[in-house]
Amino acid sequence: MTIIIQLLSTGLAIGSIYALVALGVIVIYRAANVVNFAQGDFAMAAAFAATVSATTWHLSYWMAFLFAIIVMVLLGILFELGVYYPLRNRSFLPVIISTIGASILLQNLALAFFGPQPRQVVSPFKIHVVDILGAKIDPQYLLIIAVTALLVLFQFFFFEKTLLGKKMQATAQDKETARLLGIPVTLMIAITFVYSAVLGGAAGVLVAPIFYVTTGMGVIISLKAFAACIVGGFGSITGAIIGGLGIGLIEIFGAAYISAAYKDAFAFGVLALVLLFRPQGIFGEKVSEKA
Amino acid sequence: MKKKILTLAIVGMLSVSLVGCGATKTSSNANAPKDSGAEANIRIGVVSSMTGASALDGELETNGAKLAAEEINAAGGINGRKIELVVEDSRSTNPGTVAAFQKVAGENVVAIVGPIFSTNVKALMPYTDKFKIPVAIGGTNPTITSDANPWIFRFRPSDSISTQVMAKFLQDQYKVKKVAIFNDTDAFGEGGRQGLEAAFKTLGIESKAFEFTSHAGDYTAQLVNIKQYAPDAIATYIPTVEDCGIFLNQAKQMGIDIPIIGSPSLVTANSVELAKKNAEGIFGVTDYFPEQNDTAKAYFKNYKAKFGEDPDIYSSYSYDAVQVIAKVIAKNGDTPQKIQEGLKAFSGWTGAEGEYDFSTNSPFAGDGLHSYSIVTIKDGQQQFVKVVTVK
Repeated sequence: MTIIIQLLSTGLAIGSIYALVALGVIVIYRAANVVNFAQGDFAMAAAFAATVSATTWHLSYWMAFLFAIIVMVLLGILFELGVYYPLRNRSFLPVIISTIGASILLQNLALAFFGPQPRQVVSPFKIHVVDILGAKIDPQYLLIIAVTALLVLFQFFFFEKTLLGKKMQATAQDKETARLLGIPVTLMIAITFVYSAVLGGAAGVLVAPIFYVTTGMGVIISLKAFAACIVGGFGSITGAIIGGLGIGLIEIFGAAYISAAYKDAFAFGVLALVLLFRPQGIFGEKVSEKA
Repeated sequence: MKKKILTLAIVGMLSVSLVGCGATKTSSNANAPKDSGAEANIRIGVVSSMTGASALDGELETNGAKLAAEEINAAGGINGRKIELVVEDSRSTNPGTVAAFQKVAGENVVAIVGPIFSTNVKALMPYTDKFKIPVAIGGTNPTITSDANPWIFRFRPSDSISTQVMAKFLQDQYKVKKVAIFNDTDAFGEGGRQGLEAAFKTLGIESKAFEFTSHAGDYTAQLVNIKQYAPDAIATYIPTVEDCGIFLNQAKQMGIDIPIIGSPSLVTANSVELAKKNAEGIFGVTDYFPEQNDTAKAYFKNYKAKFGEDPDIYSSYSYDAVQVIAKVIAKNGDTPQKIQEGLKAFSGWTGAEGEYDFSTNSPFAGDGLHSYSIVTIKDGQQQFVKVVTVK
């Protein structure tokens, strides 16, 4: 039982990180029909913002978190203006390539400014271990699960219950009709990018005390997040969350009970199986194009 | 007509600049008056990365050789003759190393020192037979000497030794019966795992490997399994500093407090800084540590006085190489052939890296060192424990 709890807490925590990044990808995809390959690097950028502000201005974890979120809002706006907006009327391939370029740029800018040395973000907790039925759990993992749950609830509430949220949903469903109804589509998309950047950024700052901050940290998270999107059903918000949590759990239970060296293989193995037997993913809809 | 002249001019400029770029940077240096007559200088070549990605490391290598040459010359040289170093830039690349090696080998040198990176060493090995000049290298990949090249002499201990040292230390210090191996699945980690498994088997210690892929970030699964295995100690081969830090943190969090020993990365200043308190009391192996012997201590002092910073593994091997080559020349003679024969039989001198003995041909011919230092972390600093020798 102890082991199950140990593995469960890690699996849910890492899965939550994948879910947050996956959510950011899906939200942008639904609004702008763009797959954002730089989503993982948003996490990296926020983590660097947090560690630099914490060390330079001696901020606490929460203040650094806030600073990082503000930075991500700005980065989200810059990103939308620089990467998406100029190409918004082109087909989706040029935009994807643009996001890949942004990803490379972000990583190398970080490398140029901050160097290759891994950095630290100090955990906000005084106690380092929480004992739950014999399992020794890092309180940061519990924080990740809690914050992710809150963000998911917020997301659901915001999109379903508020006017702004409904406008954003309308924009995502059909840009032209939304425009006809007087919804400022460009603004909605910009807000979507900012929201997505904040989601990715939150993931980065949450995971930083455990993984340290390195310029490549976004890449690994990105890959698993994309796998999560596809497994959950590309385009489905519930799918992104369930997919992320699912991959996090499958990875760790596979690593513990089958083979640790092949940990990554489990995530991508599941992806391969899903693509073979249910390509639309768990919550996706079968999409066929009529001639 | 004009167009033709312009084209020719451009082609001409391009070819001149290409030829110019092809020439390697040479800086011959250190001590010395040009030879004339009977008191000709003894020329020793140095191949190091003075430019490129490893420019810092290359500078350290050259410094070590320079310090040795200066000390020997100040003490009267080799039978009255002074050492002259001929340095060529390898540009931190394999083709650069080969070019530098071929250039310096054609400049009338009797021996060559460098390079340190195993990949560079392996690149120049096919060319050693053409020049028949002994090469003193610093790379630790075991296959460098297992390839049986008669001109290669290693002035740092082979990686096959570090695993034996780790195993022996655990047995001597903690009388372990069961050890968990925690290694990366890359070439470095796999090499370490194989070495450790073989070393433990020879000593009658049970072992099991728990692997991870680089930058996995989370080791809960492996640590849960290690706890279930209930070993007496953990031996690690983790290449990157951040993986070392995460591992130490998570191990301590899960209440693992058995002895941990690792390859050099585990005890570097950077990984200790990341893991902070969780690095206290861990052990690691290193081939250069100032306290490990008298030559190492003196070397530390002299290097710091001359260059203003602490020496490390990048300069200690080249320092030892020039010293040993000088001794061999004094005893055996100054032709490359005689130096090679002298090196093959050389033993009994303790350099900054440790005690040299090439005569045992172990693990392979060309391996001169058989010991590593064990260090531990106390109050966030490396502290010398002891030297472990494996014959």
